[in-house]
Amino acid sequence: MARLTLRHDRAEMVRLSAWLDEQEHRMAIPAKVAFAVRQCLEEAVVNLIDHTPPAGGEAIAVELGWQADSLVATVEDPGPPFDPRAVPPPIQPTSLESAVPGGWGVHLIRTFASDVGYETTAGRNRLTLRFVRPAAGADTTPGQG
Amino acid sequence: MEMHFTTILQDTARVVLAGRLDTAGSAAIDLPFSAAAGSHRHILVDMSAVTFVASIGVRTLVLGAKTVQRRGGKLLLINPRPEVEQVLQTIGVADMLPIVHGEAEAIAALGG
Repeated sequence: MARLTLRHDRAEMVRLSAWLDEQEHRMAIPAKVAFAVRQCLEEAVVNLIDHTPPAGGEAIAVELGWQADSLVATVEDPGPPFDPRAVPPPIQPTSLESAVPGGWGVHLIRTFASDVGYETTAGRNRLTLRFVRPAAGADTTPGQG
Repeated sequence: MEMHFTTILQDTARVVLAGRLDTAGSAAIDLPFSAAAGSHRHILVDMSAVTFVASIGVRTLVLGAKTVQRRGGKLLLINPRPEVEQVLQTIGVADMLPIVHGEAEAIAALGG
């Protein structure tokens, strides 16, 4: 498992993105899975930075690795418990006037991850996201084709 | 994330975005994008080189669309990639950010 720790700061999103670039190549992550993982981690981490109390040090830990036919990503943080599986789906806007940006991240995570797990132990929350590898030939890795 | 904009008709701007419209990308274009929306009636956003969009990037597009709509204008997305379009559809804003294929179709959609 590759591991990255991040400070509670929006500027850290650049580091997360660069780290994901590196892992996509190193772990030969297929393009479709890479897009889904980036979507989920971007939304999960920025939600923590924006909506949980600031924590000292590199309080947010992200891990990524293959487990059998799935890529598994975890996000750990020391903030208040928050189970994204318990959040009701957002009300879809019917017009631009009624479109209120926000609350979309959790919905994207639940859509783009094959499976979402959550547990909280010893004051740390752990979000586990699983992405099933597409069937052979259904996708290409970044940089190929 | 890169952004270039040109005025193509008297009241219409073409905005070309390239790269990832993620947290860092949105922060880079928020100001020039809202300035472009505030100074033109219609905005055509060339999305063909946008490889990723996070919810925060969708927010930038929606706020731009609201700005032009208040003055009777439209914001259209030209040629987004399928995976970017899937994000817009998942969030439920695809109807509010109409997608067209090519600039000619975009200009026709604006009513000439």
